[in-house]
Amino acid sequence: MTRDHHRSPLESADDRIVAGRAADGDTAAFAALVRRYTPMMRAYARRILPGTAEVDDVVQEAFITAWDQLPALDDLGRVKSWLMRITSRKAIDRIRATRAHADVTELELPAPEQTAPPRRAEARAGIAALSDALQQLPDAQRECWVLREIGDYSYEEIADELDIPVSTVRGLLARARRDIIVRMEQWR
Amino acid sequence: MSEHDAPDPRSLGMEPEDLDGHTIEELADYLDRGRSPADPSIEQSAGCRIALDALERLRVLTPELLAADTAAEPPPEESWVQDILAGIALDARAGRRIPIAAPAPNTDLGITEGAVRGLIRAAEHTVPGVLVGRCRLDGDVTVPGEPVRVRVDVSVPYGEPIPDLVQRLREEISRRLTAHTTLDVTGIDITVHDVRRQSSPAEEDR
Amino acid sequence: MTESADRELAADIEAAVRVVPGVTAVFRAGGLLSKALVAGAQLLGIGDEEASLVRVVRAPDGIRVEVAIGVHSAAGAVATAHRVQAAIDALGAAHGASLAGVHVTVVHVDDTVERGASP
Repeated sequence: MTRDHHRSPLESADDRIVAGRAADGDTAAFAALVRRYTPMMRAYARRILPGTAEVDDVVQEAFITAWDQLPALDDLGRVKSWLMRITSRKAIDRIRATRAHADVTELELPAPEQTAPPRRAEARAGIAALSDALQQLPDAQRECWVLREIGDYSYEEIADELDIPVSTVRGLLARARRDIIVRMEQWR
Repeated sequence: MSEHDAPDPRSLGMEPEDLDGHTIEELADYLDRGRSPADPSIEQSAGCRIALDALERLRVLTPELLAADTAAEPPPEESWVQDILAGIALDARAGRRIPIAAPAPNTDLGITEGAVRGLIRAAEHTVPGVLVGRCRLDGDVTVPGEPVRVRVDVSVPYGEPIPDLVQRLREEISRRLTAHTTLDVTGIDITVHDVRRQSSPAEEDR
Repeated sequence: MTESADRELAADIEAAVRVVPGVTAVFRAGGLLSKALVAGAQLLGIGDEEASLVRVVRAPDGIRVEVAIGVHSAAGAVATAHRVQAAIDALGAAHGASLAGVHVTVVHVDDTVERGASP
């Protein structure tokens, strides 16, 4: 039974169908959704979190929340971006929990050497440069940039999520962009 | 230059004095607005143009980052998937309780909406290749005799005439609803949301 | 009727319901809006493991019985629910109790092929 899923029509059905079945209680359909989107959600969580240790926990929590809230999702075609949103919320929750007493100024220090993410399947120089530049960013800048540019959050949404003023978000984003392009220009 | 030194922004022209009084933040917003309406003080500043080009390169690369990161992630282990299934509440998503007409006054018979959705989904077995997605019962199913419309999303395999498949499915769903409920079903709306090409038979064993 | 008689009635009802043609399983009755589990998942063991899955409640107007069942697809939920209700009424009469309410909820319709008579 465990191997059959590779041939199951469910694995190749579109998001709306698979998510619809899962919303109606079909756990096999939900498992298909988990297989389909785990790599993306792990990749996204890895960019938000400062280390790799808790990525799997965050993604598992995201799926458990997704199961609970799926029946309330009206536009099932948007399940992919909906899962991304849940992932970033869980990742930020995790950061908040472990950063409870951090001084704001600590967030401005350059990042310590990061553990490397998985080796790139394609070694495009530009992507590699961007990836490395991101890893060098201080936490707060990186979080703002990832939420904005990958998570597609608005400034207000980032402010809500990180519990900081919108003006601070703008400032962090500007610094992040500047730092990234400066580092990327060094590669050219 | 060591990667761990903070890069000196002045050497690469990102400070306002290099940008003729503009800030990176302004330029990023300007780019977000599609560079319109055109701002001559930006467009005519060499420093700004250089910075805009760099921001534009970043903008083009950024959507590819998630795709590249995702491709680098391995597929999840099956044990990991099962861990998640073990963690979710295996309730039937019971939904509303739908009365079944009963003869005696002391008798209250019913079937859950979750059970009905399940039996509607199972109708797909009689039409091979068809997959039932979301299923909705529109109308107040908790009131006996209330007219109810059934709405079903389906995925069909490429190659067979769709109206045939849909009609066969509709008939099977209707048959099941009669056997398992006493609902007054005024219609069964089937919407095809997906047409699947057959996957190659290559992936037989791992 | 005493509490132990109620429990005996519940146990008898559960046993009788299990053998009604078309019934695949008895689930824990969880109240008027039963959120029982589908077949294939484990039966929840909340509280007293010994207690019957059937709920017997003393209401002001008499004894009320609540049951949650799974049925075979081929047998039909409507027909099976009626048979279950009849079985419960008959059992109540045999116990000398006229039942004020019999509440049966089908929580799962099982499409898997029946392989033989279930015990």
